[in-house]
Amino acid sequence: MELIIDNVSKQYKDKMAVNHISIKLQAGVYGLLGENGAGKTTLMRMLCGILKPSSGTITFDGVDVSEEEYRSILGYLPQDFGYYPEFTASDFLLYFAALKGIPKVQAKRRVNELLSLVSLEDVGKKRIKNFSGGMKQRLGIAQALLNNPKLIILDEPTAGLDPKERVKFRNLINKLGKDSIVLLSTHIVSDIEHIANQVLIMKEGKLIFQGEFDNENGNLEEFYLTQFSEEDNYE
Amino acid sequence: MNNLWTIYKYEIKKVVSRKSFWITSLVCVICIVLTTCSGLIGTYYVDGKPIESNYEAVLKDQAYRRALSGRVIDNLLLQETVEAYSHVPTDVYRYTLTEEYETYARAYSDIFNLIRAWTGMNLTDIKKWRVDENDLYEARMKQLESDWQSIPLMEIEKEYWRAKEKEINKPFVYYYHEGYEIILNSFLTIGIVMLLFVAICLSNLFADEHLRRTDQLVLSSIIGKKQAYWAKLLAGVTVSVVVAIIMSLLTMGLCLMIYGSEGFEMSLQSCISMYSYPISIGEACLIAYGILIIASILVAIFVMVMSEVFQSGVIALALSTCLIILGNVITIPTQYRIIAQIWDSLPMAYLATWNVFDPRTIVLFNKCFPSWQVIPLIYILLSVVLAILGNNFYKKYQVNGR
Repeated sequence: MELIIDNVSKQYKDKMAVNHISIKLQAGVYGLLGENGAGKTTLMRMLCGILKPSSGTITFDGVDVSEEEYRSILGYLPQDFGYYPEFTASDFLLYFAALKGIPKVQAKRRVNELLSLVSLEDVGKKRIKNFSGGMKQRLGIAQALLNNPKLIILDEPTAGLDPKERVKFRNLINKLGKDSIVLLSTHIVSDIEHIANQVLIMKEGKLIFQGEFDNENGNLEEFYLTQFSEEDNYE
Repeated sequence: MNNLWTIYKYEIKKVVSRKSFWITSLVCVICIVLTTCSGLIGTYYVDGKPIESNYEAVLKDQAYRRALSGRVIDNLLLQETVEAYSHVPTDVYRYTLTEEYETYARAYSDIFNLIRAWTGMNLTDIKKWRVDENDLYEARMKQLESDWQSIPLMEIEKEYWRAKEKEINKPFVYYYHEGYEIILNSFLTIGIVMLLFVAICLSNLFADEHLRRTDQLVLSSIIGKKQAYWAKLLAGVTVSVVVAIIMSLLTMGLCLMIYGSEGFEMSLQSCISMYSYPISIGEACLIAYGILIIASILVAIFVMVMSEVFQSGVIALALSTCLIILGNVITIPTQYRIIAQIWDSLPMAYLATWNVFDPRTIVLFNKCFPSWQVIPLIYILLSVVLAILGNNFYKKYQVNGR
């Protein structure tokens, strides 16, 4: 299992949102860090095939990002997760299960499993418009896992989760990372410390750090802050 | 395929779960009831004094018309009509308010109106008229020729209508046909109501995916870039067609229930006198409302594609509403034949009886076809082309910025 990002760039008029990124990812959890506007979301959108790179290629086990087959192994939770307020949680998941090509009987079983996994089984028949922010986020995580994806892209997945839910989420991600490639972005450095096997840091569209980070390397938060110290100097 | 069906059902749910859908539906039902029943409401006043309630008037006229139903419009009936109207004074401000009109003439008012429409004569002329049914039918033919000249029709079209005119059985038989006449008269209003309904209920269907940001989830799923578009489009078309059918059935049901279902077989010319195709008024109603249903497909696809192209329900709604208003406000003179005919063939203008049953034909391969035989096919073709264009926009959409 290998995701190859080869010399990928995205240019908007005079701004290079993602600047010639090349990286190979294998099964495991990858934490993507970077300040606002660093290009994390743009990179993730390109990895999901919903934004075309200006140059470069993205392939998963040789399958190009633009192909239908690529999307069959993909699970995605966007940063600005949208939902249908009038749908129940169960309907929402069944709808996306259908979009992900899961047969109806299998979909019903999977939806029940996932509702239970994200502790929403009691509110499966309730409309999403009545959900709290944390419940919506858990529903978003559930939809990303519907098709047992091999490539899981999670943009700010812990936003809105309370500390208890966050711990549960970390455990889930750890489990998923054994058989899948999980790429998650967050502003919360401690999340990355606890979950990710590998850390990727982006700055101004470029990948400025890639590698394992454990306690022997020092403190990740301090390391991260030193990378952006020049801009963040308010003195 | 099974998943397409599941997505389709959820897309329908997205449309019908909105409050705006039910509120608009309720307003449409009220409009239909008012349109079909307005003739029964209120009182007829002259100089501030009530003459009779509209309901009483309708009942009285229905009885007179039913008495004439089944009679051939021949010398005998024409003579009776002229005799009845000979009692009516001509030197009064409004002869329909006179005792003589009520006593003698009112029972024949439908036949009188027919003579007037075909010959162009007024009351004084008709009173002096030496009744001859041949004169009446010849006068109608002259009037037709004059109309065709002023439109202007091409020679091939005139020949076509002359041939069609020969196929019409004459003399006509008068049937009580009020239900069908009101169905035809309601066509324009029901058409506008349907167009507005589609514009209001479908303008958000695609745009909302972008607004709610669910587009990212849809487009990143395996069948989100292909089948999802068609399922959504099909769902919108289904809602539109079902609503158009319900509106048509409701209008027809109310009209036939209130005004009676007799007269299906009466020739259309007794109602739309200057149209020469040999069809009955009942068949004309079916044609008109059939076109309404087909037009609903084109309008639905247009609104949904605009919703995707502009990624804004407001723009799609504003654009559709402007077109509906313009279609009913702007009239292009018939002298500019091609432009006028194209404009009148657009759904927002075409859903009117005078355009559906218009002597301007569509000439294809040197053959003339009445517009109602060709326009529905063009609507279906345009729907397919628009849907394919919309699909290209949908597939190329990139989740940018935000």
